[in-house]
Amino acid sequence: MRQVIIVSLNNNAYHFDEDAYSDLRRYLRRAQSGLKNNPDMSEILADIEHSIAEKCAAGLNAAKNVINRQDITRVLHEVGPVVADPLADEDEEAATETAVPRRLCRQPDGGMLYGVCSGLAEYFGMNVVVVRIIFLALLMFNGLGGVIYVLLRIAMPTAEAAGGETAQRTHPLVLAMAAVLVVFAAMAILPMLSSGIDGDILVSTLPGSAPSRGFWAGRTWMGSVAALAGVFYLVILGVVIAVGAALVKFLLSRARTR
Amino acid sequence: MGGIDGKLGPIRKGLLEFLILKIVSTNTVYVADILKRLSETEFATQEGTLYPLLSKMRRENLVDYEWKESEVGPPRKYYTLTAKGKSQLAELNQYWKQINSTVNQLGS
Repeated sequence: MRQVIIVSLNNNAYHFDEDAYSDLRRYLRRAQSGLKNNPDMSEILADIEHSIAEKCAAGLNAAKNVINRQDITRVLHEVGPVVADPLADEDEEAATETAVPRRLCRQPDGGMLYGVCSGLAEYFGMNVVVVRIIFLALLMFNGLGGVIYVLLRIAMPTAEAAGGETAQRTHPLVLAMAAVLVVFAAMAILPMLSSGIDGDILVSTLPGSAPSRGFWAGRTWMGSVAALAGVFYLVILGVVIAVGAALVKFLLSRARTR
Repeated sequence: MGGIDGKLGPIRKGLLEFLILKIVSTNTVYVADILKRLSETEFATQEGTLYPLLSKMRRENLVDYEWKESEVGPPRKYYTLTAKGKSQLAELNQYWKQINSTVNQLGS
């Protein structure tokens, strides 16, 4: 069951679901703020509303009388971002260009593996190569990049699956989960690094090292404990990923059916 | 592609108003008609661009509109050229011919 919101466009009532309504409202607000110095603002907004209403009406029939996010995304894409001054320079125009709502989605077509990097790159307006390098760099930290990648792979919908659905609402959740994961991973990695250094590595580089001698004797023992702890941490990390991904999926599905 | 488009974009932008004057001059048109005629050309554009431009042209008294009933749905705005719009179109046409011949004269 979904709640609908009745919107009057151009003196006619239209039924919008909540997602579609929030997209339309965001679009119109951006248009309004972009036109705030334009003397024809109210007229242009009325015209745009008129066009949106016409295009919405074209997609409705007796069997379907509610406009969903997919419909409104298509309509707003057709209408295009409201350009305050169509004859101005590109730079100014670019400021209003992002009027079509952005979504955090995987893009398997544009990606090398599952399109996670390419989806992130588009969402944050970065070059995809930069995102990939960040992931590779994070991979150096005991595979942290891989962990985050797997989580995002599970949590991010594909562009088609999202089909204009709910992704805008859920992305803070995904990001929050990723943040939790980073903290967990850091907690797992830091002890491994420090214990690894004063355990194994230092001992083996000590001149004439004899693990059984003096102060370092205990350390090697601790080194092997640290190694075991490392394996243990990786197992914990695996569990955290599985639980985290399941939680995100559960919350996503709940957000959809609400 | 980005480099050449950076040079072509401003040219298209500069000609858009001229082309709209031309389209409106041939008939009494509705915005969807203008978009449709432009959609088949390099000058394809969208409502988000066209409405602000038409409003500006109306403010400059180049075009005017009247509400007309449509067969389906609510009434629509139909645009026509004003006298000032017609004379500006004639001037632009003249200037365009001049530019064209200059471009042609200066080599291939």
